[in-house]
Parts: sequence; C-alpha cells; structure tokens
Amino acid sequence: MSDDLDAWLDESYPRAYRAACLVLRSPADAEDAVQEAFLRVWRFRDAIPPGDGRRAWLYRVVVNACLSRMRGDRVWRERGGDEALASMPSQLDPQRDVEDAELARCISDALARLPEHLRVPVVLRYFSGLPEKEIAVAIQRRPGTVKSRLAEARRRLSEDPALMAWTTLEVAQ
Amino acid sequence: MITDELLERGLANAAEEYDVPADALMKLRSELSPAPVRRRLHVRMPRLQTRGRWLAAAVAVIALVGIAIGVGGTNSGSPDRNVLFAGKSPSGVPPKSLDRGAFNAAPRAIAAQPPTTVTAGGLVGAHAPAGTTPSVPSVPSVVPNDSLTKIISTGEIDLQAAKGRVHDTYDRLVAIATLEGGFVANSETNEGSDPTALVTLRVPSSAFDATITKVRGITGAKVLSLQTKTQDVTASYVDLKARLHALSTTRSTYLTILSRASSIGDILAVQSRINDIQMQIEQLQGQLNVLTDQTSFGTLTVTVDQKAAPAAVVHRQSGMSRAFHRSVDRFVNGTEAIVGVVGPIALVVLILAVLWFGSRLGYRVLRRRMV
Repeated sequence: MSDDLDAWLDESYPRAYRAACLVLRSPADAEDAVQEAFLRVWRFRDAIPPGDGRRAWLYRVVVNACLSRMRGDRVWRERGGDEALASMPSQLDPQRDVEDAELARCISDALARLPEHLRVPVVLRYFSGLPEKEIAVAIQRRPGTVKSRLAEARRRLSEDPALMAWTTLEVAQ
Repeated sequence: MITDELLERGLANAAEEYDVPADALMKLRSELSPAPVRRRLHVRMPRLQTRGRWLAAAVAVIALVGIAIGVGGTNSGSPDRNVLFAGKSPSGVPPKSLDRGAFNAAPRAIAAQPPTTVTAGGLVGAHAPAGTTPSVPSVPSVVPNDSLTKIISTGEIDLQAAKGRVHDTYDRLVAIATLEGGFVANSETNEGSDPTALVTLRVPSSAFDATITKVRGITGAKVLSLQTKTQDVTASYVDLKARLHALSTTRSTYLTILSRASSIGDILAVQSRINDIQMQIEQLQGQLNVLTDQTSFGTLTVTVDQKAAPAAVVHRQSGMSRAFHRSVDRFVNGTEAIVGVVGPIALVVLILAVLWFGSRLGYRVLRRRMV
C-alpha cells in the first residue's frame, strides 16, 4: 500500500469502526462491515477523490457496508430495543465518569430505537463530525433530505424516554 | 429539544464503549498486502486463492523457461562458397524427405505448409502430410536426433543464343527443368529485334548439378558466365527444429495447466501465455518451411540473349576532331550541371520568399491590432 493511503486508512479506521458500532450495535458486525468497506476502498483506491472529499467518500463506503449488513442479516432485523441494549458492552470502565457512562447508555438506547435512515445521519453528524454536504455524499441523498432527517432524528431523540431526563436537565440549566 | 452538544457528548461516550480490536489493522493489511502476514486470529481463506498463487508461480516459471528457450539459439551457417565457371557445388548427402514425425501439428494454428509432390510433368499440387491428427500433441521426451545436411543451392547462368534461337532456348530450359523434376518459378521474355529471356528454374537439390550440365549443353547456346553458390544451413535447420520442439513442449504444459485452472484470472493469464507461445511456434514454423523449401529445391536463374550483330566499323579520328568532340561533350555536360543546380536554388528562393511575405503580413496585422 502506498504510504499516504496507508497512513490515512490507519487514521480513519478507529473512527469508522466506532461509527459502524453505533450504527450496527454489534462490534463483530461492525468489524466485518468496516473490513469489507476498507477492502473496497483499497480496490477502488484510484477513485478516491482528493482533499476533503475523501472523508465523505470513505464514510459512504462504510455506510453502504453497514446497510448491506443490516439488510442481509435477519437476526439483526429481529433485534428490538432491549436486545439492542443487551448487545452493548455491559462492563463500564470504573474510571469513567458515571454521568458520562449513564449518558452513553441512554444515547445508545435511544439510538437503537431510531430507524436506520435516521440513525446513520445522526452518527455521521454528531459522532463523525461530517457537515451536511458530506453526509449527503455518504448516504447518497440531497443535502435537504439530510437536513430534514437530522431534524426528525433530533425530535424523536428529544421525545425518547431514555433521554427525556437529559433534555429536561438541559432546559433547567 | 435535545441539543447538539448533548448528542455529540453522548455519542462520543457511547462510541468509547467500543474498543478498536488491536489486530484489526493488521488483519486489514494482511488482506491488502500481497505477501501473506502471520495472523493471530484464524481467518478462513478460500482454497482457490492459495491454489491460484501456486498456479501463477508455476506459470511465471514456465514462461521464463519458455522465453529463454524460444528467444535463445543462434543462427549459424557455414560460409558461402562461390564457384565460377563450371565450379561444382558439393554433392554432399542428398537431402531426404523431411521427417515430420517429431512435430505433430495441432489443428488450430500451426500454419504448416504441406510438402509439394513433383512429377515429370511439373508441379502437380500439394497434399497434407499423413499422420497429422487434430488433437493435443504428444510430447516426445527428447529432441529428435537429426543428422540431415541442409544445403541451399543457387546458380546464375548467362547464355547467348544464336540469332533467332532465344525462344527455342527458352523452351529447352523449361523442358530440362521438367525432366529433372522441377518447375519454372519465374520467366520473363522480351520479343522484338533484340529478344531476351530470363528464366528462374527450381529443381530438386539432388538434380541441381545435372540441370546445370544440361543447360550448358543446350545446342545453339553459348555459356557466357556461370556462377553457383551453396550455403550449408544445417545448423539453422536443427536449431529451428529444436526451438519448435521446446515451444511445443511448453505449450503442452500450459494446456495442462489451463485444464486445471479454475479462476478467471488464472485462465486468462495462462491463455495469454499460450497465445504468445503459439505465435512463436507459427513464426518458427514459417521460417522452417522457407528453409525446407530452399533446401529441397535449388534455384537456377538463366538469362538468355541473342548474339549481337557485328559491330560497325569505327573510323579513327584525327587529333583536332577528337578535341572538337571533347569540347562539345564538355559544353553539354556543363550546361546539364547548371540546369541541375537551378532547381534546388529556385526551391530555396521560393521558400524564403514565402517566409518573408508571411512575416511582413503578420507584422502588419499585429501593428493594426496594437493601434
């Protein structure tokens, strides 16, 4: 592998893996999906757009790999909110802030209840930090669609029971 | 409404729950890099990939061997022997019929020209060699030991026929070639007051000397010059056969590999090599066919012209007359030289004129635009 591409993939892998975990809710599935995505990236490395465009391109490949995984895995479809919650690592790092851990758990729970077409833009926007334009490239939709989906996702998360307390706390503060 | 900061913080915390597997990148690199990397986790590899690598390695080794054998080998021939005026070409060992047993031609592309059958009536036609069957060739274990001597015999004779006998001489030459089991490869005749004939005879190498003897004995024709040449091309012939044999062996091996290849990539790679080998085989076979033809039949070129009329009496010139004629000649030559030089000078002048007018025009246009 060329050095430049190698370094970029090394740098991007952890974030892409974690994003896939948030979307798929399963580390094993996320690892397979990201592996497949990066292999595709390598195979079509000549098509990688230069500059900032490559991040969106990479996430597009990762998202497609995740969606393929989700749509092809019947067991995954049958997972409900409780099962999704159970798949999350239960062991908390004791050194982590309890509040953060609790927030993480609530977010994961609420995220699991979001449909995939809303979950993916949320993860790309608030975890991967992609702007709406790049999210549009990643999920192959128009920027207007991305905006409306993000708005709908925020609305649903705000009304989610798991996050209700947090939103109330925020308002109180 | 939930804030963006809360979402970012929450998702970041949630993502930290997932540890990136330590060997994930190593696994990825091992998938991407060509050399296999020792993996800590067992990854099920498809059997086809391992076999494909062995196949590719085998193909590469055979390709190197095939190229080394096919490209190598040098043509060497013994020096020519020029013989003037009744010099005899070496009789040597009369060439035998070509042994094709070692090279069974595959049907697809070996453009082997079949040997020609010649009788007293001249060339009657060609027939395919017996024994060739459209199947994968069997591979002999060793190159066949061939001790044939291959000689290319050529000759040129200038004959002067008596007045009015050029045509008869030509007919006689054709008859000689036919009787010796050969044929007329090329002929050119000029009728008129000064007839000439140019005939190229191809006769079996074994009958080459006898043909020359008969041509020299044609009644009413005088031999003005005779030149024969022989070239021993046995080494070249044997070398060509050896290279053909090696390439055929290589091709058979590739065909075997092709029958075992299972992936599209392997099949295409092996097929590409087979195509290259086949092309080389066809080229070498073509060269061998030419050599066979040249050694099977000698080539005798006979030029026939008519005895010239007696030269006119030339009166001796006096010194003044000679000087005058010389002066006239020199004047003519000088004039011709001047005319010969005018042409190139005119061309150069023309080119310069075009360039000059072109630059002036361009300058005027430029000036107008700048104003």
